[in-house]
Amino acid sequence: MKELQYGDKIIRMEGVIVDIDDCSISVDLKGRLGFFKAPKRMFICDYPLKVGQELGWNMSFPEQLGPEVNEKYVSNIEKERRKQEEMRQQRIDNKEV
Amino acid sequence: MGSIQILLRQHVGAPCEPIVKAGDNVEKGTLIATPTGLGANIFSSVYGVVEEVKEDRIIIKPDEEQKETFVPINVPEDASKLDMVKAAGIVGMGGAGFPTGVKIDTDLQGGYILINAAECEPGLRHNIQQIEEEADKVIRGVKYVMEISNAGKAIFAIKKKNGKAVKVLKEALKNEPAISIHLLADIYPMGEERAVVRECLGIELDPTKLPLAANSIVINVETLARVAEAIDEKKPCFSKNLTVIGKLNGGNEPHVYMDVPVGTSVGELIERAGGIDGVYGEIIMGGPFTGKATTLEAPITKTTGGIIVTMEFPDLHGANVGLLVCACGGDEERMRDVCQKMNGTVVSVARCKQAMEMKNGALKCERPGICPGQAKNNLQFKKDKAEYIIIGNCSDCSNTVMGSAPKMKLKVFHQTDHVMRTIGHPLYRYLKVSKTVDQDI
Amino acid sequence: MSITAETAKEHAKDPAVLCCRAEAGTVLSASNLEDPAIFDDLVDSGLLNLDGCLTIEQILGATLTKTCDSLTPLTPDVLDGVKEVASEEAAEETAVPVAAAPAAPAPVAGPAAGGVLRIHIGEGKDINIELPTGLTSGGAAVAEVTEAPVAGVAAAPAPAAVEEEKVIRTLTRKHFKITEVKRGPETKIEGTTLYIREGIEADVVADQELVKKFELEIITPDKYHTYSETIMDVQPIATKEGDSDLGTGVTRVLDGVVMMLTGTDEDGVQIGEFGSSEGYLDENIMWNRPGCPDKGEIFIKGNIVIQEKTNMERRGPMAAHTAFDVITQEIRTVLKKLDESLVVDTEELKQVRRPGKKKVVIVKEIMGQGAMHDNFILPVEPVGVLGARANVDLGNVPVCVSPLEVLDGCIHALTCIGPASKEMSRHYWREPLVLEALHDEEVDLCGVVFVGSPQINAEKFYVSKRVGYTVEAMDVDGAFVTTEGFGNNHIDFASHLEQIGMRGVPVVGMSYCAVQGALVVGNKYMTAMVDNNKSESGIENEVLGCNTLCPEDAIRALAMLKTAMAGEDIKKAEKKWNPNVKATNVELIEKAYGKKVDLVANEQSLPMSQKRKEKYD
Repeated sequence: MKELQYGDKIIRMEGVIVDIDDCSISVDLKGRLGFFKAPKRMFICDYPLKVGQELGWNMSFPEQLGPEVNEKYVSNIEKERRKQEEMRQQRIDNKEV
Repeated sequence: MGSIQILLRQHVGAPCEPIVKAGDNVEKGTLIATPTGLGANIFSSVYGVVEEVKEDRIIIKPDEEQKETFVPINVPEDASKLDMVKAAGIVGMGGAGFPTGVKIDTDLQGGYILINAAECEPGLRHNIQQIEEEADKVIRGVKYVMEISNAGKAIFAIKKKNGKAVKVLKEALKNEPAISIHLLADIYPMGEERAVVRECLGIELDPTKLPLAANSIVINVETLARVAEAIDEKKPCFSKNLTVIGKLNGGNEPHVYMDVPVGTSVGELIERAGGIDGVYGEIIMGGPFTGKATTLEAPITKTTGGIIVTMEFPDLHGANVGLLVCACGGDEERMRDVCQKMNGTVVSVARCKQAMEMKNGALKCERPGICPGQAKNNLQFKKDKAEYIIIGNCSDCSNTVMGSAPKMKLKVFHQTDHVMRTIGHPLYRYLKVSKTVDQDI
Repeated sequence: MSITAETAKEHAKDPAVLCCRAEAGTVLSASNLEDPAIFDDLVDSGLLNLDGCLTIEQILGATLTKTCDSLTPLTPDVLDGVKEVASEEAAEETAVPVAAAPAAPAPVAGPAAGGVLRIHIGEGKDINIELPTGLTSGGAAVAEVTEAPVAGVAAAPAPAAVEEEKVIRTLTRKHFKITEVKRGPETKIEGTTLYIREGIEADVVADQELVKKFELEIITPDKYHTYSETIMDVQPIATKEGDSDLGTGVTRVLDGVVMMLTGTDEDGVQIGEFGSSEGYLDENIMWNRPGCPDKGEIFIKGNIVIQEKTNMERRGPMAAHTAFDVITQEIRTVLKKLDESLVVDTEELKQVRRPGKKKVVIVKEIMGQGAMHDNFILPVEPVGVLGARANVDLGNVPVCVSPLEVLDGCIHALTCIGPASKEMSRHYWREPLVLEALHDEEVDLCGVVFVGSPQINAEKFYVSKRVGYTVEAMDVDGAFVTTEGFGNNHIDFASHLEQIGMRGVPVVGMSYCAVQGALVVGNKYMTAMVDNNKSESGIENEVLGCNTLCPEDAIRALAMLKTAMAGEDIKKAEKKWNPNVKATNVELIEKAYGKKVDLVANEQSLPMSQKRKEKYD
């Protein structure tokens, strides 16, 4: 495994819960720094979850592990994208019928 | 000559009680304050008029003209040598300030007088210079103290690097079978009392113990000269030898001044040495390791060994700093002072494992100059997110700190760095010399 | 920091490292040595490399031949007078001296919110655990280690009152072999061929409103290299004979075939959490794990499409599992009527109590945060749906079951935690710890407690307190606590261990931890831990079932618990995850019990998928 070069540069981040479903929590990073969605089990909660609650965590910068493109992943992504598009279209068609 | 300020507390013990009042005429050697408990007599160091008696000091306006003569100590004709030492108000002039009359009032039963000529604080030179110039006086002092405390032997502990002084001593001691020389390595701290005992006698003392436990007395070179003066000349102790060094006009060479009147201001001595060269960082009274920041107005005392004007401090721009406090360097307050002057933010304070806190709150090293390991402290600093660390450690411990800190990406400053850079002395980092030296002269 | 003579004695077998510069000619004593307690941190910081370093007992009294700086590991080339420490001595007393070698890993530390969590274990020997925090920092798993689990164990239980084993109940499994699965006009079994009714797909879709589409696929071994959506579950096909309850009577099971559920929502989004094992089946399944298909088996693979956007709602996965059971149920009905002559194998599982032996309980933490983090408990049929209660609906409170109920499929797992540490329905059917404990003649397994892992901390502590009282009431001598996956479930996992430990009951924890799953919290009862990791680099990879509890983990946990129950110390493991800890423990166990522990393969045995090759190992 490639060692991370900046892994020890830990920064405190904060965010706001923008969506909660039965298995995941969506978080907008404060400062317009992005958005993420992660499984509920990765959140430590002292209170019942509500949209608008603020979160804090430590993180570092994701760094590339190398320049190579993993074709496997590319093909998986492509397959997923195509499938989702087709299925979505199908659903819409069905509804029109 | 500006006003002389004589502090009422220049020694270990309670402050003295003034026995003069404003308007009194005083002479050089006039007794102006006496001890209330453990302490030593205090004398005027000049001819002049008492300007003011404050709670902690007596201020004297010196006369324009100052004679060399002085008022001798007031003792009966048949006074013992010890009584003369006591009357002269001599205290340990290496910096500790313990009343000498009390220290040597003991029976060593043939034990040792260990003469501390280590002059361990880098930059200071007056002890060595005194040996070079007045070895006889010092040796007379040694013999008096041996007599007073019934010592059988005396050993000069001196760093081998002081070749000239060692040579002079050797010559002066050639007919003194009871007095020998022990050479010390050039590392810090060799002048710590218990380090001297260990080096000379091979006995490691617990920090709570005095050298007496090893049947010895450790006494500074200048103190011995003052003892000789008190006995031979009935001279009270009112002057001090010291070194002025640093960022001075004319260069960073040490200026040694002998017999400076106690109470002289720091500023006056700096002016005598050429004055401060431009902007400076701080003025230290004492040595780089154990001295403290002072002001131009502050007066010198019987224990002042050095006045150091340093270059400016580096600016850390508020970076996180860890302090490694030990007994060899400044206390936590001094370390925080240095950190603040470097514009650092203290995020972590660790104490060297060997720094034992004494009853009076002072730190003493369990095994001076022999490192107990420092990696754990560095781990603490790293965890506390320190970016820089400031250490005050001895040569050996500094070396150990350097064994791990840089690899942990901790940038190391030594509390004495700004002094060492100013006086052109190598920084305390890695130890390149052996801790033991060959005793061949 | 330098150490005292006593500390040196305690750490006689630990590496000898100079704490400070020491000059040539120095006769080494304890005061020259750095405290081994901080070596982990030093090694972490790259300050120390202990390869080839002599031990403290070897170098005390030796003379340094070269001036060395601080943190120099002492090696023979800089020393004179190194002591030979007799290795034969070690051989004689197998158990005791070898103990210095680390044994089973037990993660106790892990990411929290920055800073360092320091735990001092006051009991036993002076054990200090430092817990580095912050997941991103690479999460050092603190592993605890067992001392040779053996010596005390073999001796201890023997003299106890020898009482007869009591068979509480039995469960008979009748195995029917399937070698071929075909579609046909009706669902039936002929010989070893299973026919599934054509058009059954429509029944699946009709069963649940949310199910919009369903496709059935028969995957035979020659089709293993097939692309598949994320695997949601792997289930045995089994049914009860007559009207016996789960865990009793007779269960009929089909060999050679498993049910496999996959699915997406109408927009093609995977039902399942984030990590997924979509891709080629043969590259993404860790064959023969308790919860996985065995190599050579036929998969009846159903791909369910549920209403758009319900993939993240509780009702989505529930509908998928319920609808899929329509097929299994139809097979069950056929299986019930199958002629006895087709039985190829009969095994009898006995629930044995061993009075006088150390009484133990297994606490299994299952996911209960919601949606697919849920489990159906105690259906009427093995791994069925009907009659079961969802763990979340039960409030995640502890539910006591018999070991035979576990092995009879009392858990229908919806859980979609990371594929590698996911305990699928089939896992419980073949649960290794239950099997090992049931068969181990030195312990008396009194039952299994399932407890859910809720989302909110207050609820977590609510349920863990219940676990504490449940175990207290059982009056056991020892307990296991297992969990699956990692994340906030480690908070209640730690709390269960504490609740049990504080009642004076020795307890062994089992979880995937290694690198990524390092524990977020710890307490002083978490001293005996087994890491379920199998992956080469200690990460939660994308291979189904890779890091789940296997027989080798069960054996280690049992050995560890017996050691703890015998009152022996469990040695502390290195702070950072080190796979050798497990290897050493396995070795110790093999030596002590005189039997070979077969270790399962990991992802390295699979055809190397590019993603794994490049990203992980």
